[in-house]
Amino acid sequence: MSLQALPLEQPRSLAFAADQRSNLVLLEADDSLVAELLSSGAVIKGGLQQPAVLSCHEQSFKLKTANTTNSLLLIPFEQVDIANAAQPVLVEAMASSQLELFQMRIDLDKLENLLRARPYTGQADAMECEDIQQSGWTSEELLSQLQAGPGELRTALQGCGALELDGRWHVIEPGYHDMFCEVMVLTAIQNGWQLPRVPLAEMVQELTNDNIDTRVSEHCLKQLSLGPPEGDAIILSNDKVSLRYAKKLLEEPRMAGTTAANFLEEWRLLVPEGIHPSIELLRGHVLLDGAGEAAEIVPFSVESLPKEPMARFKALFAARPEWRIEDLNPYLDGLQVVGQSREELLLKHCRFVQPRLNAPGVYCLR
Amino acid sequence: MLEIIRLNPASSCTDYVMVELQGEVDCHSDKTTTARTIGTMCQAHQTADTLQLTIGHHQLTGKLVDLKKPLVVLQKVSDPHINYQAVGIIRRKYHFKTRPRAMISKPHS
Repeated sequence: MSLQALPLEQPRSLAFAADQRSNLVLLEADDSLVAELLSSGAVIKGGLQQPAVLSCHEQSFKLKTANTTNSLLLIPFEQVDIANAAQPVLVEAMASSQLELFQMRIDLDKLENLLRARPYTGQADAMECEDIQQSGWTSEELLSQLQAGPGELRTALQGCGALELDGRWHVIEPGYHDMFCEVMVLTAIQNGWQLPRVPLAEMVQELTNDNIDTRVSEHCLKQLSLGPPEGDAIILSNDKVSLRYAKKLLEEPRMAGTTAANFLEEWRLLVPEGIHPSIELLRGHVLLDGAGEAAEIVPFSVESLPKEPMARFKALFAARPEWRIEDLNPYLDGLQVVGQSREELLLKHCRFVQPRLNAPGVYCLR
Repeated sequence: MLEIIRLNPASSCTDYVMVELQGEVDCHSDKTTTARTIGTMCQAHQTADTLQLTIGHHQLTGKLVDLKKPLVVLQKVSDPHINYQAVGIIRRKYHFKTRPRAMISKPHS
């Protein structure tokens, strides 16, 4: 944009307008954001414990006031255009501060906690009873509790595997998802479908006989699949299906303190034909104490950890005081950061220690 | 629960230019219903993107620069809840970064 100067060939008097405005606030924003603010507006959300956040459709920003000791005089351009140069140019308002924006992400921990508090359990009939809380949340309900815009919320909901049913967003209760998996595998066996390949429409149809909502079936199948359907079939992901069984197995008391070799043996017995588990898949779900097949398995899931970096590192170092980088890596997935690389995060929150020359380095809490 | 304040889109958008002066502008005359004069302004050195301000015995020269990021001018409205309305935009400012020059001669009244 070219600089447009005030047309001041003749000297003009500068004066404060008699009715100077005191209700104006300056907000600094990028060009793209300015266009959105002027055409669609935004909302500012804040609370007792939460600082003010400005949310547009797709992005949110923390608001901070920047004060200046300079005086900022605001003059409308049209003031200067007045043909009569005898009239003074009027300052419409003064300012000594402006609001600045710092991009932030939606609080995924809070979103997931809200969703988990009202999961989909498949008990639609029970909802007619007024005592039982309705499952799921509408977008409006979530937007009134989260500092985020509508587009940003939708992306986050899809990212955490939520399902929209009749205008309400749900996560599937883990127990229900396990039941779904079992019924789905049994159905495949009964119909002679060879896993991991499953005919989508037929499977969904079969599952309705077990009172599973077609939308829920499609959603769960998609969540377990490798990608979009190939023709009329969906290919289940070996890793995702394996992991579902592993998680269930890890919860069993008899598995406490078991070795990697033993766990793998039990796991193989549990999974349906056509699915092949391997210890590698447990990265980010268990810690291995020791090496090789005799290593002891300790359940520790990245999914249970906070998504906010500081809280995540605190939880990690509470579990183990020292981490090798290869162990640490899977536990750094899904962290919420704006414009910070993994290396920068490690540098900020950890200390790198090499106990001896040539010994592998480890990360400790800073 | 969060408090929500709306920032409404602009129904009309005024183009402002900003004049940034170091320190405060103090106006001695009492608040009146008429405009209070600050000083005189004109181009310096016959260049369009400069501004020479004469305030009392002091002369200041400023330069027109693009703001790094534009400023949206918001107006606070309370009817009955507080909300904001975008009313204008500032993309340029006259920046006065040099010290004012004292004039020996008596200023024009």
